[in-house]
Amino acid sequence: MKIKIPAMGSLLKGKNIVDSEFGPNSINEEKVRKFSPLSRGNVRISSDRYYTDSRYEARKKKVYGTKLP
Amino acid sequence: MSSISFDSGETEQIQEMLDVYFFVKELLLYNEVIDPEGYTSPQILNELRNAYDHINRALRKKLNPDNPGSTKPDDEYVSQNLDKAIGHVYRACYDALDWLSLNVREEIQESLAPFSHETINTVIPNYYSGLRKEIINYEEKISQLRASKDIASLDQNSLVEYTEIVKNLQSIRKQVNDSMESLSEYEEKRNSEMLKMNRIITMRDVGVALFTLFLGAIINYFFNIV
Repeated sequence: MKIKIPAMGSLLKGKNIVDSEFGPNSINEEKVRKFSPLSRGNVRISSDRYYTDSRYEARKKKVYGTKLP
Repeated sequence: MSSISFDSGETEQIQEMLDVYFFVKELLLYNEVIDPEGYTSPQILNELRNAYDHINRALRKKLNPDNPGSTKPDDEYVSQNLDKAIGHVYRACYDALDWLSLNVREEIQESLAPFSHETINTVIPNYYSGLRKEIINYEEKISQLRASKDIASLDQNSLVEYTEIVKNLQSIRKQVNDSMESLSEYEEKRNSEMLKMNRIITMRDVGVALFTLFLGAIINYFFNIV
């Protein structure tokens, strides 16, 4: 079945959609706050349970800063 | 609708990608369960999103080679995109392994923190001689892999090695978790023996002090020193 969808480039004119890169991870606290009321995606992310780079590095620093018994 | 087929090189690429992808998927699910905060990792999800994008670029070219987009020859375009997809899946794999080693380390730290070295050594005799060193070695290995993020040096053997790392970390985690009851029992027994010993020592010290006092009093009485 052929689905009718808007032609490629109708939103971003002149951009090569097929070979464009998404780029680095763009999820951060501010974006989550803004979009979470509308989000139907990942529950962990919309409920603030996710690692940003800084959260992950802070946890790593804490864990590796403690010696194993 | 036209059908698509893959040559042997592409099939090998797809197989490798599938092997690593399902490994990453399991790691991601497992990590989300054992993470102390129940967090997820958008970084890993982003790598998988990029991989999915490259797979779709390759499939699109296969389905209709005349589609506008890249000017590269079809075979090269498909193969390059599959390679890029594999690269992203491997990066997701390093990130997931790094997260796993962090989760296992923190859990072991917190589980063993209340116990003395003697208790740990008695209940888990291979902890100091083996397990602890293994955890540190795996952390170093994973951190090197993650820092390089280079798939040029990777092959199926590397994947086997990562699988072994995961199995071993999981087995260490299980061994520590299974020992928790014995650790508590031994520590309790040890503490109660130490308490008993401390009481004996205190009583002995009090006895010696009283005896010295008594002796001093007698000497004083008979010889009237002071």
